[in-house]
Amino acid sequence: MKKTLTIVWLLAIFSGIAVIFWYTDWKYSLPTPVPDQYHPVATGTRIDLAGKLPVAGDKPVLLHFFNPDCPCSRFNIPFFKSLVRKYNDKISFAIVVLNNNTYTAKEIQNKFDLDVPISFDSTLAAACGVYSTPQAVLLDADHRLYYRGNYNKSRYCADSRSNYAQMAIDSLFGNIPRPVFATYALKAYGCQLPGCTQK
Amino acid sequence: MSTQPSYQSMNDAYTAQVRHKSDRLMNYFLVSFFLVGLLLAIFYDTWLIAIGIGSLSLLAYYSVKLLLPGSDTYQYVASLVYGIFMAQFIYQMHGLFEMHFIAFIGSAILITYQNWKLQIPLALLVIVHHATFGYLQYIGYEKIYFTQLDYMTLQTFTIHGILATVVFFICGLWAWQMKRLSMRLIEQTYEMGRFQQEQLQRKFLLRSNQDLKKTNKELDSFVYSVSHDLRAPLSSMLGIVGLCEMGNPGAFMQKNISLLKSSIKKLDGFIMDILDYSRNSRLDVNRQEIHFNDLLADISNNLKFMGSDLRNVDIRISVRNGIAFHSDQSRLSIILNNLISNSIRYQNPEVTDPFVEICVEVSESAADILIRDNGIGIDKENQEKVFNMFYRVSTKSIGSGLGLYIVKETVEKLNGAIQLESQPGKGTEFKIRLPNLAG
Repeated sequence: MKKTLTIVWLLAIFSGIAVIFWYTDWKYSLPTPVPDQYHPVATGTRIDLAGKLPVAGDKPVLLHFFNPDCPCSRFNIPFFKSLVRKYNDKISFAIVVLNNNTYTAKEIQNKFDLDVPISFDSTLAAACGVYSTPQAVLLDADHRLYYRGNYNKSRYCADSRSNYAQMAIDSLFGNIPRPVFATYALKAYGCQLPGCTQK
Repeated sequence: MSTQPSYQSMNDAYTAQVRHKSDRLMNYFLVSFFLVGLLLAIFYDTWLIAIGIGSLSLLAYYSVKLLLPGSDTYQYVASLVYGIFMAQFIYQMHGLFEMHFIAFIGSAILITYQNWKLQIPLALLVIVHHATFGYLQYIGYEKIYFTQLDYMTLQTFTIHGILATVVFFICGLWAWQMKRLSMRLIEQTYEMGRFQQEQLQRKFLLRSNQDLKKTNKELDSFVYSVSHDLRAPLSSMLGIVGLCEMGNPGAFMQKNISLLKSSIKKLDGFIMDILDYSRNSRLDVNRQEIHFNDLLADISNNLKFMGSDLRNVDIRISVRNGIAFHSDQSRLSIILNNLISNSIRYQNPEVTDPFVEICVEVSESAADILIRDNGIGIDKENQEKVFNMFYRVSTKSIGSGLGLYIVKETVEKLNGAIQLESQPGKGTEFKIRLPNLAG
């Protein structure tokens, strides 16, 4: 009797552990569910940033869609920082915070330890067709959508062959031909946006 | 003397000690793992995992330990918990490959319990998890992916698995060997303890044996000196009785004097017996050549006038020698004297020709002496007891009850053996074999 009780108790605990792993990790292995009122935004669409972000008009822009509460976003911080260090002179970087809680721009900047413009405008996500965090949106010098997708196939950003965001940047500058991005690049992985309902 | 604990109790005590020590180590390690989780949470804000999974893991371990206190199930749970901590740390450190070593740390920690089986849950957790996820990815199942390292081919994965298994196997092997060594150590300690105890016991026995010997010797010399001293007044009493006889006493007095004389002689005989016994146990064997014919002639001459109320018994002597026989003459004399006098004393009144026949046959190794008579014999029931000290067949028996006891003791002193065959009414036969002490 006591044995059965112990087994049931242990199973409950291990299920609890599995649930936490699922909640913080495994569920992000699956593509992010597409929201109900999602409008895809085609590549080449011009994105108007006027008044929304103080970025230079003649430079390509990389918008980093970020949610401080999203585990995937948190893990992505070092990689985003490495991109900023590498392309800071060629690209204007900006962070779009998608979160309902009150964070100040300073708090976000501190998390990245970067002095990049911060926007809390969630309409930018809809304008770019973003429904997940972390997502990279690369606009060319004319602010036309060049790439919108994952930074990496891996949320650990460990796979150099699938550094999709970086590949997009390199092809934008003509260093490499524009790659044909696979599903893992364009199908969003990561956390759902706050307040989104699943399709 | 203190008694040595049994092997089982020593073994149990050792097992309990290992368990207690290992449990304490486990407390330190598990709490440290939990704290490390909290530290790692600082890097990527992984507090939910650090607190949630860390505390659930500790809960699993400690609750099972409390629920099943007598069983070692909680140790197996600890094994699983180390696997879970590894997964937690890998996640917390953003897939940091080095965090895989946590499994090996856990595996090494578990050696302390000296139970190789504890490696199994950890190994199974790691292998089953890797195999399931790896396989799903390998077959191209898109909904879940396990590792994105492009070099994680099936071959790499197999090597990875084999190396991990080898680590678990070796840790299990050390645990098993430690257990075996400990068992051997306990066995040796137990044997040592037993040996010591035996030594102590032997020493104790030796000492008490020495004490006993000493007491015996003292008793012997006491008996000897007392007996010796007693004989002197008896001799003078006999002398005085002789003087009385010479003074022409009346018939009544003569009868009483005879009774007195026989009592004195009986007492003297008894004291002589005790002296014989005492001499036998006290004195060393005095080896000399034995001339059986002379010895037996002397004895039969002495015994001829044993008792005035006894008929003469025909003493037939036959000695076959030619080989020199060596033994202790005085002891041999005691043996033969006793046996032949018994034959005379216990002659059968119903036979017309009472005899005692003594046959001696000497060989290189021994002398076989046969003393046979046609006396009253000894019934079966008494045959076993006649050699006991102070044993008399009946209350009417004459003699001290020491004769055959002295014979047996003396034969044994000479390293010989004595056998008795007898039929009541027909006669008695003693067979003695004495080793030839020549050389």
